[in-house]
Amino acid sequence: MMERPWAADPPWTGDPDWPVADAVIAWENPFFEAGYDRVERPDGECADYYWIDPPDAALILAVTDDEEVVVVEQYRPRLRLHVLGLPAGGVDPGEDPEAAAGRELREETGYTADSLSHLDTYVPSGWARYRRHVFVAEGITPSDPDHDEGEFIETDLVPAEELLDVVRERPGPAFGGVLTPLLLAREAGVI
Amino acid sequence: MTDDTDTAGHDWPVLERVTGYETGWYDAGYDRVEQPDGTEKSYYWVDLPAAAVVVALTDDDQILMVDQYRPVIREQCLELPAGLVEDGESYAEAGARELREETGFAPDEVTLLEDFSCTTGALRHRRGIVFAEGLAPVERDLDSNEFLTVERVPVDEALAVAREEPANDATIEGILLAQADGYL
Repeated sequence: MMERPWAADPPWTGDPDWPVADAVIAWENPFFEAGYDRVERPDGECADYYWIDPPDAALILAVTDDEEVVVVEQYRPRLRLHVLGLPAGGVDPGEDPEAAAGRELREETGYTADSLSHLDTYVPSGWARYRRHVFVAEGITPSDPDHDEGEFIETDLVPAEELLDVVRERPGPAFGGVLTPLLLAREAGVI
Repeated sequence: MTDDTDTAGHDWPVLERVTGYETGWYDAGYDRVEQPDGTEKSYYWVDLPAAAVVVALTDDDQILMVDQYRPVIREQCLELPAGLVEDGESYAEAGARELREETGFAPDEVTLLEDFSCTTGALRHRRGIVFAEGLAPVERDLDSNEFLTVERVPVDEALAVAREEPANDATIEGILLAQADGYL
């Protein structure tokens, strides 16, 4: 699984052709740090590359024995949209991504899984210092969810073969966080 | 494109908006929001203009990719051409422009495959994936901060290449969407 070179201690400087002259944390809040690295480029010019550094996320594609996928619908105040997505959440510091996936699935939807398998890990964007870990959950059993304060979540099941169309044909913009895991799972023959 | 920063028409009332950090690249801040049970909570956000990502197919069935160093994540990345949508541009127009600037190919036809919100977490960032074909060589026109080389990857290897570390969401997503929609 991909390392987080930017989080290494002491700081990893990356490509020696792009030395980091300075790294500045300009703004902090309870969820992420925002700042910039002053980097000397190969042409000798210095430039500031802005970043944010939120926690990694785990996304879970949970499939029932009847080939249905667990989806969650939530109002997302940042986007001002009701979004259909997959169960997902932040990986706590020091937490194994797979453990986070199992925990988030249980807390958000109440489902527990017999098995979790890692599908892929990727960065969502070249300017955000975090990764998304995608897991497939199988052998799932329903129970009561345990929502965090402020989580208002509806759980539903959608037949696996319809899910891509359901996600893409909803009114308003689709949610990219669900597209890649879904397409990867199709490619892998999971759904 | 919808205006994501409009505070009106909001299901959960926004009591206050604070911008904590402006960079010229993104803005970061938080909204103080009243939730359905009457409690208040701060939702932290980072606002970045929308980006267009281009799946460009050559006549001999190769995908154009760009190889560049990403100082933010300190990785050398092989990615689909992409860039921010400028004022007044559609995703297709932005994609065609970025493709021309980064790779030196002008497309004859550009189709929007999908546009979506990248995350429901902190990033307020939209992304449009476009498919480009009928490529004709023109002059490249790189921004001063772009140090990149153009690579051609055979279609049947593109997904495997995209999934190599450091894997990048936009590139995997673009190739898989173009496949799912029958373009590759």
